[in-house]
Order: sequence, then structure tokens, then C-alpha cells
Amino acid sequence: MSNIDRRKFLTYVIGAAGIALVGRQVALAAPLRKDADTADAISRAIAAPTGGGRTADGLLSSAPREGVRKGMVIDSGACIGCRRCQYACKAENNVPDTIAPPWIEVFQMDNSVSFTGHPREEELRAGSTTSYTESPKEGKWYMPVQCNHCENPPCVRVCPTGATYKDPRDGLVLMDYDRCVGCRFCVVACPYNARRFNWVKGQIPQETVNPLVPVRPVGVVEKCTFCVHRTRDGKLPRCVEVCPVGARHFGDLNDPQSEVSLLLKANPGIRLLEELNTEPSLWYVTRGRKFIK
Amino acid sequence: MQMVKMDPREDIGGRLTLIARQQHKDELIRPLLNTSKQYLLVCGALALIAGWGIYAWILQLSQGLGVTAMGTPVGATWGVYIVNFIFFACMAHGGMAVSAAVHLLKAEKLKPIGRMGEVLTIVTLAMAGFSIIIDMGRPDRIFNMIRYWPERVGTSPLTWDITVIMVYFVLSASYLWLTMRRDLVRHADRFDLRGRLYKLLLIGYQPGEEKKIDRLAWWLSIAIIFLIVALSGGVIPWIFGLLPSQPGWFSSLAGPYFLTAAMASSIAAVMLVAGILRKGYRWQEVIKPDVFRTLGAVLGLITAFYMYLTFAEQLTMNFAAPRPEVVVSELVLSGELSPLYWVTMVAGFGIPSLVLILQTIRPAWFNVTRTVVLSGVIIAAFWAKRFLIVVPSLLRPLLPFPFGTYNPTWAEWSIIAGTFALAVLLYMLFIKVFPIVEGHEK
Repeated sequence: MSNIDRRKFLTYVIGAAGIALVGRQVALAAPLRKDADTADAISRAIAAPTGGGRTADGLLSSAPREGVRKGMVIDSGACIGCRRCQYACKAENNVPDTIAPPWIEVFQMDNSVSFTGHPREEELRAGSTTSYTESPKEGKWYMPVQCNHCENPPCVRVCPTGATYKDPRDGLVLMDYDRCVGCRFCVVACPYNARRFNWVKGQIPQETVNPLVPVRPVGVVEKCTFCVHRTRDGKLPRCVEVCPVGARHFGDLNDPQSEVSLLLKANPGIRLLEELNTEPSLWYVTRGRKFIK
Repeated sequence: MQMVKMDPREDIGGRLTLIARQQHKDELIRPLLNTSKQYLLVCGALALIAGWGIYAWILQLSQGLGVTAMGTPVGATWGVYIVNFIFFACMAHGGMAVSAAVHLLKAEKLKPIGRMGEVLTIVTLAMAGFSIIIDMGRPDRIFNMIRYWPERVGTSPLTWDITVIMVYFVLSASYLWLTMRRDLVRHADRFDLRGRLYKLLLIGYQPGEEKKIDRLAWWLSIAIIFLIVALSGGVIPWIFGLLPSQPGWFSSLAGPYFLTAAMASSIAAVMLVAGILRKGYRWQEVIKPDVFRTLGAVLGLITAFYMYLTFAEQLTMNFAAPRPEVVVSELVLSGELSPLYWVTMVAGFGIPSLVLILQTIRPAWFNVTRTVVLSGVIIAAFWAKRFLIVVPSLLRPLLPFPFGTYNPTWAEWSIIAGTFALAVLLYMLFIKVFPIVEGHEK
């Protein structure tokens, strides 16, 4: 060490880290280059029409299937921040107006905004990231967030009644609204602030209630279910279905041939707050708009 | 009969001793013998406040927690109710600790305040449980926590809490009951209605049971000492310290930090109660200034140690900490909660602990009233400090959600005031029903 000055040492370290990083990218992209079949499968998956016609691959069953790990990949490079997912989810899942934001929130980001859980004070100032009124905006990108359906969910761990649980069969983190005592321990334990609470009785007009989703009573916690009533019935989550740019992808992370697995094979994906060891099932990739057909 | 036979001149000394002894005996049960107008006035006022709090709670029960200022994901998911819970649960310990110390360490001079501490434990523990119920969105389902206890006790710190609090409550209530039997025997025939209650509580009484009871109490105090560490240095801080989702909470310091706070705030509470009862019932000769001198010195040192822990915490959160820690720290050190923080640290902990330590070093400066007043100040400061632990982290989410704010509503303040009034009221009722000072031997 005595021969190398600190600056040089740092340069070496950073250089080594950089090489490692590039190496990883290459490794990640490698299967795509080598395996033409996989590449075809990806393009087929991406080319599939968005909207009602699609089904969640391998999930055509109304009961949770063993060995499945339902997951979502959000292409934040493609997302235009239109919030259709947010409002469609709200309507689909009977989320009352008194729960705001609803289960999905969309952040407007730029290069000054960090997204890995370490926002700066100025970013956190009221409404800097969530109260935008028009999108897409030049120089901005968008990051939808919701329940991550973690493999290692802290909310499930802390619940004193087992009202929130992880279904061991298909990996969904769900709520039993009849058991919940409303202590909100899960709310504080979730690092993603994905959970919502019924502070008052939510009012939903009778004619707009979705009969497939229970209307929650006052005083219980709720959150995104990956549209359990749809995805266990072979349909896609509503947010995936309505996305106009195909930025959302849903499927079985355990199946190497599923749309989500292929996307993650071909693109470096990140998950939020990975250092907290929650192992989210929600991935972000940045393929960008040029991939949208 | 005997006295008539005696020569009055010879007997005068003996008679005076008898009268003095009788007065001395009565002195300790003064609250049971006469009730002053002030007492009734205070009771009335407290009942009004408690009633107002219960009214606010009924409002909350019918409308939901929406009557509070809490919110999620933007805002504080937990608020003053959880603050109140920690405050009362941690205060529940020192009382028992003092009493257990009397038994284990044979600290005879603390004996007159032993039971005051035990009753403090029972009352504050009840208020801690009540605070949790108030905070629940579905208090009607409280028994779910018992029903699903077996499957949740493995992982949920809240379930650990319920377990330890219940065990602690049972043990300290048993302890209080056992150690009080001696006094109940002594006074059972003096009162009519209360006497009947005493006799009920004396179920299974056998003359000469004292020795056995002392043994039981000794073992109970050992168990209770362990439980104090398990509760205020364990399961309560672990509700917070085990969650990496909340910067500022996630810390292995949480256990010792809370334990220190619990010891300080509860010793202060015992002193405050003892100081008020001493003045109210003219027990200057029963509760010697030495009690306050000793406890005051301990309180000063523990409070100073708590400030050191706070410094260590804030230094870690600022020096080269991840940004979420810095953001939370900024909120209390220079942000919107900083006025509360600095008043708490300087006026609530700094000056009182300095004065308490100084008057220990210089015994001539010692003053009982000042010590009791400072205890009150430290108690209030610890409530505020718990607020500064619970709330700031919740106002700074990890994802770029907007900043939250939290200003408790009138309903929340009314309920908090109600719990305090109820606690004092319960205490005041206790001293009217049971002897609050352990009787002298013989």
C-alpha cells in the first residue's frame, strides 16, 4: 500500500468493479446471443398483443398451483406514466377513494431521483414524485410500485394473527381480512410502503363493486394481491392487462420458458431494496420504448 | 383493666408509648381512615378527563381510526397510542424493580415505597394493554391474538409482547397479593366493607404463613427481574429494532436503549408517586429523604447514560450513514420535530440529570421537593422521547413517497389524557381500598 497513493488505489478498485459489472452484463446477455430459440421466444412473448387476449403462461388454473412463483417484470424504460394501471387496479379491486394512493403508486423519476430506497430530502418533499399532472414528460421516466410479493416477506413474519400469509404454493402474499386485528405492524414492517389501511369505512357505489373481490371492512389492512382472483383463473392481473405500452409482464418465475423468465434472462433486472433481503417477486428492467411494437 | 391498677405516675411513659404506637400504626393507613375534600376534588376532575377520553374513544370506535391524524403510506402509521404503549409498558418495570430490590437486596430503607412501586406496575401495565387496544383497527377481534397465538409466537414480536406482558402482569399481581396479605391480616377486623374484601383475599390464610410467603416472594422477584429485561429490554424494543424497513429503528442498540429509558422513567415515576403521597399524607417520617437521595442519584446517572446512548445513536445516523438514516436524523435534529427534540434533550434530560448528579455530589444542596419535581419533568421528557422514536422514521419512507407529517388530533390527545387520568384515578382508588405502605414488623 505504501507505494501506491490513495487515488491510484481507488482507481484500481473502481476499475476492477467496473470490469466485474460489464462482465455480468455480458454474461446476462449471453444466452440471448447464443440461443436463437430463446431470442425467438422473447420476441414472440413481447410481440403478443397487450390486453384481454393474453393469458398468464402456465397459470391456467383456478387453484394455486404447486411450485409456481408468480412474479412481475415492469419495463420502466417503456412505462409512460399514464397511471392506467393505478386506476384500473383501483376499480378492479374495490379500492375506495379513502385509500389514497391506491394499491399501485407511480413515481415520476429523473436522474436526480434515486430509486433504490435512498431518496434525497428534496425528492421526498411533498408531491415531488407522485403529483405530476402530465406524462410522459421529456427527461423523466416512470416507476410504478406495488406489493412485491416477497419470497421473504417481513410483513408476514410480524403479523400477530397470521392474517397476512404467503401462499406456499404460488408465492402470493395475501390477506385474510377476517383475521386482521388492524395493529398495522405489517404496514410498518413493509419497506416498500405497499400496504394500505382502512382508516374509515370505504364507500364504493354498489353498481361499481367487483363481485369477485371482497369489499374490506373498516380497520383492516389491504394491499395488491397480484389480482389473485384473476391470476389463479388463468387471467393476467388487471394492471398488466390495461398497460397500453406493454410495460408490465406477468408469469411464473420458476418456469424458465415463461415470459418473465425470458425477459430477465435477456435483460439486467433490478429489484427494489434488495439489500433488505426481502427477495421481491417484482423486477424492473429498462428495455425502453424501442422494443414496443 | 390492667391500667387501672397501675400507678398513673409510673405508667405514663408506657401509655404514651402505647398511644404513639397506635398513632404510628394508624399513620400508615391514613388514606384508609380519612378522605379529604381535595382528594374527592382531584378524583372528580380525573373522572371528568377520563370520561372525556372514553367519549373520544367511543367516537373512534364508531368512526374508525380516521378520527386520528395517522396515515399510510404517507404519514405516521403508528402515532401517540403506540407512544403511550411504550411509555406505560416501560414505566411498569421500575416499580417492580424497586420492590424486588427491597426483597432481594434487603434494601430496608426503600421498603416504605415498595408497594407504591408494585401498584404503579399493575396500573401502568393495564394502561399499556389498553393503549394497544385503542390503537387496533379491530379491537373487537382482540382474541384473534390469543386464538392464533400458537402459530404466531414463533415469529411475531407483537405476540412475544402479549406473552411477556401477560406473564408479567400475573407475576406482579401475585407478588403484590402475596406481600400484602400480612397487612390485610393486620387490618381485616378494623374495616367493615373493606374488611370483607380483605378476608376474601386472605383465602387459605394460616397463622405463620409469613415465612412461606417470604420465600415465594423471593423467588417471584427473581423471575420478575428476568422478565423486566425480557420486556423493556427485549420484546418491546424488538417491535422496532428488528425492522430494517424503518431507518432509525433498525438497531441492535434498541434493547439497551429502551431498557435504560424504562429504568429511568419508572424510577422517576416511583419517586413522583412517593413524593406526592408523602406530602399528602404527611409521611415525612415514614418515607425518609434518604429514599429520594438514593433514587435521585440513580435517576440522574441513568438519565445521563440515556443521553449518551442518544448521542451514540445520532452520531451513527449522521457520520457516514445511509441516506435514509440521515434523513430521519435530520428530521429530529434540525427538521420540524427539532424544537421538541431539543427541549426534551436539554430541559427534559440534560438539566434535570445534571441537577440530580450535582446534588448527589454536594449533599448540602439536596432537596426532596426539587428531586420529586425533576422526576416529573423526566417522566414527561420520556413520553416526548418515545414520540421522537416512533414517529420520525414513519414520516420518511424508503421509496420516494412524499414527506409525511403527523399532528395528533383532538381525539388522540383526549384519549391520551384519558389514559393518564384513568391511571391516576386507579391509583387513587387503590390507596383507599388497600394499605399502600407496608406495615412495620411487630
